[in-house]
Amino acid sequence: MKTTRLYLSNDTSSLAAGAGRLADAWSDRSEIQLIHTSSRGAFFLEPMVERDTSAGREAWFNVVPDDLSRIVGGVGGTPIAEMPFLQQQTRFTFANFGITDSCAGSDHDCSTN
Amino acid sequence: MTIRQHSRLAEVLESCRPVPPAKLNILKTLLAVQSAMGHVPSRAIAQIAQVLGVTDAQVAGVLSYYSDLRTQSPGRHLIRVCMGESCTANHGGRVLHAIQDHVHSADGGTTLDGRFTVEQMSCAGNCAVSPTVMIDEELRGRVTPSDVPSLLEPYR
Repeated sequence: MKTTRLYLSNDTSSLAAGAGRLADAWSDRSEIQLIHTSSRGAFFLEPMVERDTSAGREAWFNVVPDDLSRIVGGVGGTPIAEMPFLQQQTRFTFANFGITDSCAGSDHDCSTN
Repeated sequence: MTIRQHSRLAEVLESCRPVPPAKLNILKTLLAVQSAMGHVPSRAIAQIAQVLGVTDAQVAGVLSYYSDLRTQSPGRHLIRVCMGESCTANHGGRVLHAIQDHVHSADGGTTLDGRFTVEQMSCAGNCAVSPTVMIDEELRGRVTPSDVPSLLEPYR
């Protein structure tokens, strides 16, 4: 079975908004691989789940456990690049917030990011 | 304090006794006592001061300054409702009252069965998803009064 890689924020406020409960609910789903990232800061959209597409990442907002099939099927996602909140966001530090796994050493490799 | 509590306190304080060149640390000692005993009994202030070589007033000052340090034993589950600006603006007060009504506890009080202690807290820094409630170590955001029964169910 093909495994779909999904990205879910592990930020404190994301967890408080339900990201942790979402991860728990999906913990036994073999069709996905959950990558715990930091947050993009769009907390009003959390829990926000992203997945890779050929055109970049797409996101699903205020996700509940039953949304998984939609996400895995690629239905109803919003391209990250088209999100007004992120288009207007100015990042002074940490360009990779919300994109990478903050605990993964390879994600901090300057030569690859 | 019971004899057992006295004994436990003595053990903890012995491990916190400053050995030069280490500096004494009142806050660290009080946290160690609270971690071991669940709270810092007011009657222990003099004993703590003696071990650290400071005055009773210095220990009492630190103990009363930090709201996370408590002189009474809390219930088995500590519920803290954020009363920061964002949570208050988003009806955190209603959430607090709903919790108090649900567990039958006045603010700062412990339920008769010792299961819950309900307190207000200063800003939890979770403003983006307010109102915030913290139950033991679990932080929950966007809590509404109608969420309260299901929120507390696992802690029954």
